[in-house]
Amino acid sequence: MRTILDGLGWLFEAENWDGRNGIRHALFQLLWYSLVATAVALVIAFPIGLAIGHTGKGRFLAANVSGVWRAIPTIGVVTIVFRWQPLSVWPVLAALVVLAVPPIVLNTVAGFDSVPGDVRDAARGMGLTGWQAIWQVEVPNALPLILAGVRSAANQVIATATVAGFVGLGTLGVFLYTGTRTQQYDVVAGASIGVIVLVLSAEAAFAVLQRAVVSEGVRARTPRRVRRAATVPVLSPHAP
Amino acid sequence: MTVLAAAPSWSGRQLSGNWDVVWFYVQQHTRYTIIAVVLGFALALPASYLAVRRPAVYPVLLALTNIIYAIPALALFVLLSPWLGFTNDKPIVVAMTLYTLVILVRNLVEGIRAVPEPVLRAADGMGYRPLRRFLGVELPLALPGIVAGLRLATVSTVSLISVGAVVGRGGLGRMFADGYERRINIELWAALGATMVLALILDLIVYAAGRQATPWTRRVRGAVL
Repeated sequence: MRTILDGLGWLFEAENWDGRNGIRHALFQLLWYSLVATAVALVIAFPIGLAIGHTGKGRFLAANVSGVWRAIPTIGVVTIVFRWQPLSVWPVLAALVVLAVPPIVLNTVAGFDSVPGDVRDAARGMGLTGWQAIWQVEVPNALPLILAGVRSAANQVIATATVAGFVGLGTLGVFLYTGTRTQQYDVVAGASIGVIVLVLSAEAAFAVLQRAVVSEGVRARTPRRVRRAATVPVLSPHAP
Repeated sequence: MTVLAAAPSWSGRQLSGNWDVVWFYVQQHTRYTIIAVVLGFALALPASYLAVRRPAVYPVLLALTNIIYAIPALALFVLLSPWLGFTNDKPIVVAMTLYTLVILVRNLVEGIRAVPEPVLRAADGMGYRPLRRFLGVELPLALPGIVAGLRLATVSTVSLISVGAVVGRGGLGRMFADGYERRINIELWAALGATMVLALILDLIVYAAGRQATPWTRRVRGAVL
């Protein structure tokens, strides 16, 4: 408890915010890496999820590959890529993308699965071609779950991006490492609180985004509980 | 969490002759994973019982576990260290235990909630008391979901423990830390490979145990054929 209060004290100290070693700079670095990594992961994962979800093929493979994929340790990717491309942004970016791909793929698949069969039939009956049906009918219907996947990925990425501090790439992770080395626990606690606040803000931002882009009808059909629970697809054989 | 006096260290820049190092840390990693998942399950069980019986508790539990999950792993075990010690791996195991909760609580509760109402009525009619009904009817029927959660928790834990590397701790994570500092690429690759094989094996074990525990899910499939 005491450590948490000390952490808040450190966080609210104005002079800790300024300069290249300040909290503000670290915060922006963390957000920047997270944004880039999540965007790259989305570009990779969405087409895979779309292909599996739309055709219904390869679902078994996807579930099993994502199972093994999840076992890839973040720190392993960081250290190995660092040996290969030291002093660049690649170690961190690669590790974060690896982390963010499975939840987006699995949720995109789950999203396409959740499109009611009669809706698909109606789209075909109205004469939509395959791609038209995908973009005008299936994607909008699958959107709540796809967004849940991106949100879950973003949460994990933000919490993990602190690993950048380990290889000298800034972010709030720097405070975690220096604080650990010098046993300044107020700094460690303060930086952790900062990360938690960021994750919660991202969560809130996604909730707003969800309201803005998901159509009224789809929202009414998707129960709240499903939308919230979808962060971790519950009953799929291998689906955080 | 044994004393690490006997920990072997990597010699040279090749794999041969270093299998004892890999094996040592694989054993340690396995032990940590099992402790974390078992402890996590032991905590998630009463929590989910509460969440099923008192639905208002569930959102609070979810929010709480989500917040724990948002704490960077390093920060969590650094902050746990003053209580649990600075040189051993206890803080890491406890941190992993807390992380498993976000998966286990959710899967337990959703699995139990999916048990059909008529089954519960039948159990009530047969005179089951709430706790016995929970242990004897709801839990067994929720097993497929619970097993899915346990598999996910196991694989995540195997992969996450290595984060301890950044402070030179955490099972196979120690190999990442050592390989990084001494620039031994093969040690990094060995640790990565060992982590993934370990995750795969533990996943298969939980999967197989789950299949053994839920014979009815197989019988249904057989009947269709």
